[in-house]
Amino acid sequence: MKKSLKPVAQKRAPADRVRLLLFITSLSVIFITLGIIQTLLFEAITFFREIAGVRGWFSFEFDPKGVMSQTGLGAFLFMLALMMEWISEHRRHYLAIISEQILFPPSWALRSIYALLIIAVVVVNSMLLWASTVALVAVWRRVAKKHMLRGTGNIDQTDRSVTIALGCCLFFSLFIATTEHYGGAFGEFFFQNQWTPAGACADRRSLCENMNFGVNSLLLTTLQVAFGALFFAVPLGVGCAIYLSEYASPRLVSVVKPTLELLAGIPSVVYGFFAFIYIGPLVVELGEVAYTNGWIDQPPNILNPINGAIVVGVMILPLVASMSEDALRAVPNELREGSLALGATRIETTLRVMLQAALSGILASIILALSRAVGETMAVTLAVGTVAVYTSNMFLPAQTMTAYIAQRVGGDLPFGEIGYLTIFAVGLYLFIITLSLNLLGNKVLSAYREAY
Amino acid sequence: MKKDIDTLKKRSRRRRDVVEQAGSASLALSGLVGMFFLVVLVWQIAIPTFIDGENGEISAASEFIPISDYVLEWDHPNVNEQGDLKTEPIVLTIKWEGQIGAQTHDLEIVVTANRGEKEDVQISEEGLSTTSIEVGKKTKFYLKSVLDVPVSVEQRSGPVPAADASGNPHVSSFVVSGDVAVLISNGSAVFEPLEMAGWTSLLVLTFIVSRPTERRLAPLVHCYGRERQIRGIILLLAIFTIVIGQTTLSAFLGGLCWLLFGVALLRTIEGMERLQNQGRSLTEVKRLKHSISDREGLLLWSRMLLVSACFFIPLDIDIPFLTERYQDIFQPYASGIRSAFFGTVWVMSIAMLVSMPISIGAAIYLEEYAAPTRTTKLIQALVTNLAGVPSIVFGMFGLAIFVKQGGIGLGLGPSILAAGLTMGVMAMPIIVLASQEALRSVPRSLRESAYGVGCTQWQVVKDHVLPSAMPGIMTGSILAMSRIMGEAAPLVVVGAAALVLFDPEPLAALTGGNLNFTVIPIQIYFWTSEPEHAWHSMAAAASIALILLLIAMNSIAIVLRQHFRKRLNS
Amino acid sequence: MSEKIGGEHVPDSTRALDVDGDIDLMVDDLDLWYADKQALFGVSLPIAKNAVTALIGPSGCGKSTLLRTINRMNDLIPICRYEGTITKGDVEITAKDADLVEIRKNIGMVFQRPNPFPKSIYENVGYGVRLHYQPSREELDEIIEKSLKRAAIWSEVADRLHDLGTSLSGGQQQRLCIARTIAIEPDIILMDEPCSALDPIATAAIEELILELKKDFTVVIVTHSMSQAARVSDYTGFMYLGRMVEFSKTDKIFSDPAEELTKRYITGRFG
Repeated sequence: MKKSLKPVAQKRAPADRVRLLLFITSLSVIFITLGIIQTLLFEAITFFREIAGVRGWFSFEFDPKGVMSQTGLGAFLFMLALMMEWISEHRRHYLAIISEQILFPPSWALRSIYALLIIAVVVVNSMLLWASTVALVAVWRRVAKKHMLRGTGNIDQTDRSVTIALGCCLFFSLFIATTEHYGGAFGEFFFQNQWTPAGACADRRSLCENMNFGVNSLLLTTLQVAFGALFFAVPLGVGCAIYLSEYASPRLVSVVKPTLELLAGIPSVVYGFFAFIYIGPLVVELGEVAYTNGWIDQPPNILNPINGAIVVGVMILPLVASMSEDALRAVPNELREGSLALGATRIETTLRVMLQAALSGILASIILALSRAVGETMAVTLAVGTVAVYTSNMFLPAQTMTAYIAQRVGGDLPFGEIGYLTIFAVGLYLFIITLSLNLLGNKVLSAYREAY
Repeated sequence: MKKDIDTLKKRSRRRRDVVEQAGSASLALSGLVGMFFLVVLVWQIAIPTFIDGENGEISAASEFIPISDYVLEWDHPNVNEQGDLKTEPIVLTIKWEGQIGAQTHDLEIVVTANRGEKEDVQISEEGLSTTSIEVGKKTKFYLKSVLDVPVSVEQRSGPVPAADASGNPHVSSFVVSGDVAVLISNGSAVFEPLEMAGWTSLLVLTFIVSRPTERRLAPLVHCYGRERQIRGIILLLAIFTIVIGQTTLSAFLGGLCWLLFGVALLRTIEGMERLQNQGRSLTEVKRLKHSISDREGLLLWSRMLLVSACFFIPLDIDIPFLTERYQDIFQPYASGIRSAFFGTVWVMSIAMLVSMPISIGAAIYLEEYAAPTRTTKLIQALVTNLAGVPSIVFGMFGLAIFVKQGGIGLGLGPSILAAGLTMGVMAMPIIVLASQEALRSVPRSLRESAYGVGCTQWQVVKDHVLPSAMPGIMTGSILAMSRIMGEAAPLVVVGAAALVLFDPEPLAALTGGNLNFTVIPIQIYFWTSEPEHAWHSMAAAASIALILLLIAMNSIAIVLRQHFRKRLNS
Repeated sequence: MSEKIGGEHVPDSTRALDVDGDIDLMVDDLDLWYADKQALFGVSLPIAKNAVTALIGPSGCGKSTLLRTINRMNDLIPICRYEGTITKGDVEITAKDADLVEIRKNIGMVFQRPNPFPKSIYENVGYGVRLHYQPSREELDEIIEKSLKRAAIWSEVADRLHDLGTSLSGGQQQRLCIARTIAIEPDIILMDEPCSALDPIATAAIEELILELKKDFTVVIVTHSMSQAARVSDYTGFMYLGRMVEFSKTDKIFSDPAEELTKRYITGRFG
């Protein structure tokens, strides 16, 4: 039999060439990442080197009396936690000495301790002291859990990450407690609280005495705004997500979901405008009340971190709601039915089973939303202001890291001068913070996706 | 029978019920609060845009535009050197509804040759501070009002102020206080017969093609064999429409209507002929529907064009806000977002041109070719995490790589090209993720059946996987585009300008032209930063325009997705 | 009396609905629709106390639907509505204002796929108890141990009570779910094909357990496997196309079915 069709000449090479071409396109992702890191790193290093040339790299004074301060107390608590952790890992038999009463207090006592911890955020002045208290309580519960599992042979692998993390915290707080007067490039940037990169100098191009680069004032405002935003967005967003996935009728969901997506698609500069003309005046009214009652010492300004926190909260609300809803939807229906079949009411099912099952998915959404809030620029620039001074009074204008960058480049910025370099140092810090948040969030998310 | 378990202390049912009620109510409430924010947002942005007021009147209801000052300026003196009037005297009539009833005052203005000489007029409850003033030529002066009611200003006689470029004889057209008529004015009555004809023809043909009957198709039979002539005539018509209409938006849309009409007409005739060559009659309308090639697609595009052109051709709505450029700092209401709009279009075009091929290529490699090696995993992780990097960091990347000269910088300057490249880099991870999602959703069986007939890997990708993943990829790209369209932060860093008086030049960085450019979000940002309240309502109007643009793009994405899905399923 | 559906004669109602001993729950003339599609046609079924009642029939005949109606799980499906009554003692389960919490507490359910909560084994079993009661730590420990022992899983999990319930094997998970259900001591346990996702060894363990449970509880089990119905049940109902074709003692239905349809199904000629 003779074939009448002429076969297509099969060229062998193209397939490989296509593969190579496509590989190169995908390599561009690596190039971009390297480009970003290289740019930021390169300019940031130049920045630090320039300061170090005049003020040295890092200096501090040692002051052992600082152990008696709040931070010193925090360091002590960290040490206590570390010891507890170490004993429970390596000298387990000592645990038997601790009485059961201490490890398993009645539930009301536990609950009140948790509540006290949450309230303490507001009351305690030193963040480190609070963090150390939280760590201590966490280790206490961890040890209690280990004690419960004792003898069951389920704690075969020792988890060293907790020990290492506690060790780092201990070292850090001890360092903070016993040293003061940080100087030099790194000491100034990471430990000081005054950000006056322009200074009052005759020649603004080069470094002069009056310039200060304590990025903490920007960082703290950023955190104020980001956590303030979470404070608004998480209860509302998660509540909205739960309502949509557990209670709402399919028709309501089909209306609300696209609306949420629409909200998520509104540009941040529009949110900024919204904050400027609407939220700002409202916050000022609130601030006036606080001022007349003497709760704050200065009259409120229309640009302030609360304004920023609310508007960023509104911005990330759809993100939290939408991702949490997805997480809740991914939980198999059988769990819901199983709980209801035991005679649980809907809210009991939701709070005790569904939330617990979707917890890591919701957590991931919160972490990613936090990263988004930290990196948010335009809305914050328009809402928070341009005064790079951190005050605990949240009714006064301040400046976040992103807003500083946006404001600084807004003017004409000559290449290579110190002001130009500062934005890269700040940008690198910002990049590291958001990147680690994203890595964490995506890791939690993929672990969650694997679970269901 | 008594159960063992009933010896335990029971939980109160009433309390559980109360918790249930309260819990579900509070959850619903949190959902409502989210919705409430949307309503407030839109409402608050809409108020300053659509305040009602006529010809220079200020609506007292608009809180965001307190009574502003009227700024006037004449180019030429109306008196000679001796002080005699050369023209009619300039007289303004100023009216308001005061607490003691309606008041009308006249203000006589003498424009002298002494540039810089000026005198501002205070308007208060007692009346005007003076009834006649002398001002220099080309000098701005103010009518300052301290009233809390609207003030209207009309010119009774004399030459019009210089700043009024359109030749409109009323002062009111450029008063600072909220004149909405300037923002959206209806029907400038310049009737373009050609545009109208193009639009109507397309409408009629679309109707015929979507519901063909024998009677409706009968006139088309005459066109058999004249395809070449028809093609020529319609091309000419399209060109004429655009040329005669002086390349305005409506002329452009009219030309587009003609072109689409031509394509649809030729396809229809071709289909009818094919049908008759097969020996079938035109009465078999169902057959005809299948014999016109890509009828669904034609209908989709012409319907979209008809709807969008309907505002500009038959209704002839003129929105100066969209078609005017930025005028100057004293005339917010005469300014528009034309330059910003073109800036956005150019930046988006360059961004998409750069990022789409690369991103889609990367997505294909990652989904179809890559073995799960360490490199692949790294790239995947980078893509996922790059999508979450703050936009301003991309801006700094653009600043160092594209804008600045020296080091690894390309030295494009703060130009559209640099901005487009920066935005393209920013869009990349988003498009890669969306494309990967789309490629992943192509069923395995499709690939296997293609391999089964002996396709090479590239043939499988090119002929089978890509076409069925294309709608997803397109939708993802449009959504990515709409997301970066609203981004202002990277462009602030790259160096978009606050004030652009001319349409931007896309390739200025290479040809050495004017680098200045701006985009709509940047315009909103700078307008919001202005202290003058009138600019805030411009920012509001620009916000509304931006949101509408984004909604339109998202709708197109949705329509395209539906269309392709229908085609794939059928 | 019979009517013809899809080429088959399906008897419209069961004959004598007699059971020995007390009747725990009575399903009376139940019609059920999913949107416009009727899924149950006038089903009646008595459920004997402290006995195992099996429901058999081909896929899609309404067995699971009937089971899910008994503890009102079908209320979760918005398009589902029903007419007819289900009574347990003097409580009307199908009443509009019925107390769902109380009903579901007294009528427990075990699902087709094991669905332990993502909590520890201890918490899984304690969950239901804590919903309805306020036990002290010692009381709860006792209940959990008792329930796990009754579910014949205590020996396997006694040393790992604080492991995640989801870390167990399939058969163990299903027994954990049974333990969870019996921890709150319901009167009736509904089982919706509890062995369909399990291997033969796990199935044997569950079947043994069902025979144990019969002493204290009333069990209703839906099953695909006729041999399983024959092994564990005292009464069997055969359903077909939404109708209860035949209900009687298991010995009788498998040795001498009254209906031709039942006979053909049991001998494997269709279904």
